[in-house]
Formats: sequence, structure tokens, C-alpha cells
Amino acid sequence: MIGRRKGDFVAEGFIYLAAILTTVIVAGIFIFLFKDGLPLFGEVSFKEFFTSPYWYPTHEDAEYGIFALLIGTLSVTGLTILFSIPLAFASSIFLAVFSRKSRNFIKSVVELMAGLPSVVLGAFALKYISKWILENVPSAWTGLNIFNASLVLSLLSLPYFITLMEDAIRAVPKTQIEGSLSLGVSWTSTIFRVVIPQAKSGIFNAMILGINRIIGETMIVLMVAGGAAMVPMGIFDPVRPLTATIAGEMGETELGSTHYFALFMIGIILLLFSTCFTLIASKLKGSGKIDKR
Amino acid sequence: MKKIIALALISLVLVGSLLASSIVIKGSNTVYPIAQLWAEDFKEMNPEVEISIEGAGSSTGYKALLEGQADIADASRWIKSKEVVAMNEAGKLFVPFVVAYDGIAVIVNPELGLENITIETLEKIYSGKITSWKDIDSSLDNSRIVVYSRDNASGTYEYFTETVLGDGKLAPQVQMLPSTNAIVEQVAQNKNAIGYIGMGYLTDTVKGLAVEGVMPTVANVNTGLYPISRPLFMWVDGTNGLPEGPVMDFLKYALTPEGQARTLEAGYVNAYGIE
Repeated sequence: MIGRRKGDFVAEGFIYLAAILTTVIVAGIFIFLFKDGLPLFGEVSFKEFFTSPYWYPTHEDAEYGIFALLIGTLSVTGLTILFSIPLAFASSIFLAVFSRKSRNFIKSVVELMAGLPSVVLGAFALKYISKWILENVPSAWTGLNIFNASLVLSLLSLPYFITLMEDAIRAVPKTQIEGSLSLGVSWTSTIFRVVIPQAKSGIFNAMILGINRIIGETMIVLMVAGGAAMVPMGIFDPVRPLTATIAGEMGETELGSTHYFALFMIGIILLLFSTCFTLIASKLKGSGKIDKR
Repeated sequence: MKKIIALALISLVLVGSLLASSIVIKGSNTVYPIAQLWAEDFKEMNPEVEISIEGAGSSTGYKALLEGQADIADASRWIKSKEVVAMNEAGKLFVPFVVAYDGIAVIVNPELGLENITIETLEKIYSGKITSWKDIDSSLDNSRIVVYSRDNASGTYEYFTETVLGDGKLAPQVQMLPSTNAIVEQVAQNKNAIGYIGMGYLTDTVKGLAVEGVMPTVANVNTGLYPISRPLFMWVDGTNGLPEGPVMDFLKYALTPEGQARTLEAGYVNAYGIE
């Protein structure tokens, strides 16, 4: 340790403290969630909570089944992924590989999209997208449904996916493209057989982080997914995802009631989803190797 | 020297902002529009008072009063026994004031072609026993009834479900939306929709049905004819006697004839005289 002065140790101390503080806070969140969520199973059976589609927490004869809510979250997340990942994939390839005059413009638009507040998008969807669905989709009986929510969520998550995927693709050295093209390989094959396979882990990482974001999105689904705690039969049926349930009901519950524990348990489930995905993402990132030959 | 002056100025501003009087009102989404009108009037008369109003639901109002987060709790329902227990445990005493009356209007799309509905039919619709408009009135289409409700933080929801469903449960297909405006918007867009809102939010984009033959009008609520109407409250913390200063002045204004006349503007019904 050449040339270390007293000031360096102090600075190092502060930085260390900050890191510890962050870890403590995250650990604290986990602990509080578990502390306020696990007592639920003293009053409600595992089976009822996870398999019953009936969610009546404020009723005299209360029922706490989150099956319908779970399907709500999964269906909205699934449809959003279907809408946004292919589109984001294509856009990121364009942005990373082809630098044309339009690139800057498109990048700015993408960054603008990233800044759109979700509540504003939700208000827009409530009024206009809902109406459009009612008028143009004969099988849709309500304008607030999975389709509507997924459309808006895609808008919200596209910039997220695009930015991360583009970074992953850009990380592949340009020499790979040049080498491949100089050997006479077509552009299409170059991109899909040379560049993408090397960016694979970064792209998966992007997808997983984006999915994490989608699962946790609250405002949009609260306003636009329909609010019906039912198991959907089609993409134009309304649902109430887990996040919307917490947002809509937390304000009213009293501390220490079964409803309170149930909402925290939902929070734990969401946290577990998120943690799983993040762990998978970090695993993938670690295993990605760029061929620098 | 400069540092000392700067510090002194900052502390002065902080102290000053602490001394500025404020009224924090939280609670019912239904009472919100009248509270806003009263706040505007009050601000004109007392410009140094800051008033902030939030309308996330009656339950949030009671909770805020309990935790000392609000001076006035707006409520569209009476306090629940659980909340009374919490109040007692905290050693507090809340005092209610009836500030207006509200009729809950049942709304449908103007193109539907329905004029009147009974409480019994409403019960069947909201519990899911009837799912098609044709089952109510054979002149209507055989389309699915799209049912809207407020979510369960709302006092309007509590009152409506108690009055209409009694002990029954809402059908899972009932869509629970977080605000009255969202319900109005959906009913206006969807020909087969039905919902319920505070009378004050009625617009001409939707149609208010007559319930048991009685239209949701001011006169009908005043005379008690309209079957789905209720008092609206403002609660204060009276543990150490009624609060003094701007909070009580505000409440007193609300109950004067000029204040009460504002309830009609907001689409509600006055609780006290307005001549």
C-alpha cells in the first residue's frame, strides 16, 4: 500500500459505511416484510391462499385467495413481454449495428419514452385506448383489460429493454462484424449468427431486468387492467394484478389484521419473484464471455 | 460572518414556515369536491392559511386522524367499530360534524335505454346472479352487464354494498376502479356498463337511473325519498376539547348558509339552511 495517507483511510471508511448501510436497508426490508407477512399462515391456510380464486378481504366472512390475482400479474406480464421484447430486440439491433442519420433521433425518442410518467400514460389509456378497444374489438366487453394494460406497459418498458439490449450488442467488438462481412457472409447471417450469440448473456440480462420492472409496475395496472379479481378467459378480460391489489387496499387496512398480513404476504411473493429474476440475471451476466480473438 | 448571517436567515425561514398556519384535510373522495370549494372560499377570507386536501377514501381519513396526520377527516361513512377501538386505545376522542348529504346515483350509459331500477335488481347485478341486460328488461339487448364499483378503501363502496348487497359478496367479475372519475369515464364509453357514484359527480355523459322510481335529485335526498342517500361527515380530534384557530373557523364556515350553498354547487345536498 504505497502512498496511502490518513485521508484515504477516512474516505475508505465512509464508502465502506455507505455500502454497509445499503445492505442493512435491503436486509431490513426483507426482515420487515417477512415479519409482517408470515403471521398470515397462522390464520389462513397455505392451500386457501395460493389456490383459491376468491379474494374478499374486507368482508365479514373473509376469504384470502390470491390465485386470481396471481394469474392477473402473470397474464399482464406475459402479454407485455410478447409485445415488447421482439420490438425491443429489433430496435436495439438497428440502433447498435446500423448507424444512420436517424439513429440520434430514435435514441432521443427512446429516452423520452423512458421519462414518461406512468400515471400520465395511465390517464391516457383510461380515456383513449379503452375507447378504441371498445369500438374496434367486438369480443371485448370492457375497455380496461389485460390487453390495454399490456399495451401501455410495453410503451413503458420498451426504452428499458432497448437501452440494455443495445448496450449488450454494442459490447461485441465491431471487428467481429468487419471480419464476418469481409469473409463474404451476408448482413443477416452476420447479425444473427455472429453478433447476437456473443451478446446473448447481455440480452438475457436485459430481458430479465425488464421483466422485473414489469412485474413490479403498479400505477398502470391499478388504473387500466380492469380491477376485477377474476381468472381471465381471454386477453380482453379484466384482471387485478398483485401490485394493484396492494396499492388499492393498503391505505384502508388496519395494522395487525389478517388483511394486513395478507397484503404483506403478497409483497413477499412479489419480492421473491424479483429476487429470483435478479439472481438469474447476475448468474447469466457472469457467464457471458466475449470472443476477442 | 457571512456564514452566520446565512444560518440566521435559514433558521428564520424555517421558523416562519412552522408558524404559518395550515389545515390538513384527508379522507373521502366523495367529500373532496365540497372540501375544495370551502377551501377556496376560506383561503380568500384568510390568505395566510395553507389548506391541503387529499381524497383517497374515508378509511384513509380516519387513519390519518388517528395518527395525527390530518386536522380534519372527511368521511362518507360513519366510523367503524374497529376504528373506534383504535381511537380508544390511543386515548383520543373524535368529534363528527354532518356537513352535507349525498345521494349515490346509479349510472348507466345514455344509449342503454333503461330508466328505472330496483334495489333487488341491483343486488342481483352486483352479486353476479344476473349477467345479461335482457334478464332485467326484455326490450334490452342480450349483452353482458359490465359492472363497475369503487375499490374497498372507499366509503362510497362500503355504503353502497351494505345497502344493496347486505351480507352478500361482490361477484368476481365486478371491476373495482380506484376513482369515481374512472367509473364515469367507463360508463360513458361502454353501452353495457353500470356503476355507482356520488351524486356530485353526475355529468351528462352518463345517465342517473331512478331507484325504486325516485330520481337522484337534491329535493329527493332532502326529503329522504331517495333510497340510497347518506350524510357526509367531517371529523376533528376533540381529545383536548375542540381544536381552536383555523380548523374550527373552517368548519364553522362550512356550516354557515353561504358555505352550505356550496354543497349544492358540488352536486350534493345541504345539511343546514341556506337562505
